[in-house]
Amino acid sequence: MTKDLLVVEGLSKRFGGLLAVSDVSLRLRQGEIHAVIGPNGAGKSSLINLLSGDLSVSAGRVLLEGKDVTGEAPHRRCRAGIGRSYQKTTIFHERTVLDNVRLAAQSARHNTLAMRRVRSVEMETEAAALAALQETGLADRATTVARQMSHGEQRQLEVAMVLATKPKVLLLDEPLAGMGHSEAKRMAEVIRGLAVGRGILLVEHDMDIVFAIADRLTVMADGQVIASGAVEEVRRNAKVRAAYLGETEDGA
Amino acid sequence: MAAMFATALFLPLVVGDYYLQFAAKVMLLGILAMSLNLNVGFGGMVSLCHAAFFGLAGYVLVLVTPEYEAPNLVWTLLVALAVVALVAAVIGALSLRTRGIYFIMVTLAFGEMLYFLFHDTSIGGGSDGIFLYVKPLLTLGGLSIDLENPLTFYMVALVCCALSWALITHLLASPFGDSLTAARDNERRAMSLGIPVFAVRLVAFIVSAVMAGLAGYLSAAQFGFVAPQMLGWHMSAVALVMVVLGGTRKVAGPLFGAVVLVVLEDILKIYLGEQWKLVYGGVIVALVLFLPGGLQDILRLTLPQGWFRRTAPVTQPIVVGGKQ
Repeated sequence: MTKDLLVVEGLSKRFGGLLAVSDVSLRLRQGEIHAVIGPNGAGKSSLINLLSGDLSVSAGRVLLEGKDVTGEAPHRRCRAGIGRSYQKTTIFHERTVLDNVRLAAQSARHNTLAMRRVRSVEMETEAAALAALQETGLADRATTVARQMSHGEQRQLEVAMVLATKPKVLLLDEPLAGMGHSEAKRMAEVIRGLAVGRGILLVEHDMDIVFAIADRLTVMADGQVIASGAVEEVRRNAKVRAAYLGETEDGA
Repeated sequence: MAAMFATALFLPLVVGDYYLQFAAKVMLLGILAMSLNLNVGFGGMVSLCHAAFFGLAGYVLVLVTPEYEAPNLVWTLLVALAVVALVAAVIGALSLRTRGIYFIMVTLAFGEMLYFLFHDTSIGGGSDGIFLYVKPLLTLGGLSIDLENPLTFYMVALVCCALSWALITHLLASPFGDSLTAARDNERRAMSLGIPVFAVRLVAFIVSAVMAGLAGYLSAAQFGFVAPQMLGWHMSAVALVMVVLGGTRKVAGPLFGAVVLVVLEDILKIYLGEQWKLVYGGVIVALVLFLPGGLQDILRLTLPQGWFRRTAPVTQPIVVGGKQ
């Protein structure tokens, strides 16, 4: 049986007169990749920011495993199990790959105010960091300084850092942005692998890859969900075709 | 650095009392600058009220001292540092809600509030300041530490300076240090990795204020006098210049900044008299222009490659943006 990890109910975000996200509801199950697609300005990134706590919610609720986290600050949500990556790479450029991931592992699970190193904690952090690198295929780059890596590798590191926080839910904001075709394919496989035992909410523009790896699909336009369901079902949806291909609906 | 502190232990063998007192003064300012750099260089928080903590501790020492009796070193110090910690907690909790240039302005405002508290009221003798007639004394069994004695005072200043350096170095190597520098480099990411940025910064702010307080306490004890100037923004700015001059990426950098600045001031005063500030300003401008990474640039430019481990290129010595 799969369980609902993340439940979003009637989520809205208002910026002055603009309703960026309007009454969005969705469910994310364990082991599932749930892709959110839509044209530019549809509110996909705002949705991720609402779920991660980077933006405050105007209306609605976010439940993580049944617990309401709507009002929690970003660092608390991270500790509760919601990890996120950014569309614009936000790694620590001057640190090595391992240091980046270690920082993530340490920050999410241990006392960030601790004023001395504890051996057992260090070993645990190191192990979690190495595991995250292994899972994202960066294990052989551990000692490289982050800014010396290619763009694709930096995107991988971005995901590895999220992974090191031991999330139950991963919110990935365009993890393939700016990647070459072969890099993107490899990354897609990595993401597919990450879904085991976790839930992934994926915002992505590359439709081929979305259709290849997503289990469920939600389409947004103008801040609203216009279709949601199994990938094939949504693909055939008339409203979606209208939003994406400009095909007119009958009578519309 | 440890070797340098050890060498400094032998200074009293070579120089007289005047220079010992001078060296002690430099070290106290060095503590102030190093503590400020914990905020500026490692926390990305440019504070302009650091002198207020420095001066406040000095005032507390003078105010709790009975008039003709030697104050007890331990408890007056503890009271002074406790007061500073409390005030820093309040100022920090309020001003850390802002970022970048606004943080500078808010800390400046709080610093000036403390300045005028002592300047315009009779709590501490108003604008004239007050004297401390008897210096702190600690007697433990047969051993006594009397800050009246220049040699003793020098040793106390040296030990405090070394301890401050060691404490900051230790903190930066701990998970707390990781959190602090991560929040400096990218606040949003640090939050999303589970770091409570506000709490981390507040603790750093308080720790650094308490260290500035230690320097201020000793400074008041050294000169036997406190005046509102000790708390003013001018003093904060001087400390900031020491930080920038010494380099923000090394713990000991600001200490060397303090040495250069104070020595420069003294030499210029001897040779130029009244006009010293004209040349002083010019030299500082030149140093900042040619050594943008601080004094450590001298090492990098003169020593052969590989002697000096370059940890990170200093393209932006101080982050004032806050948001990216």
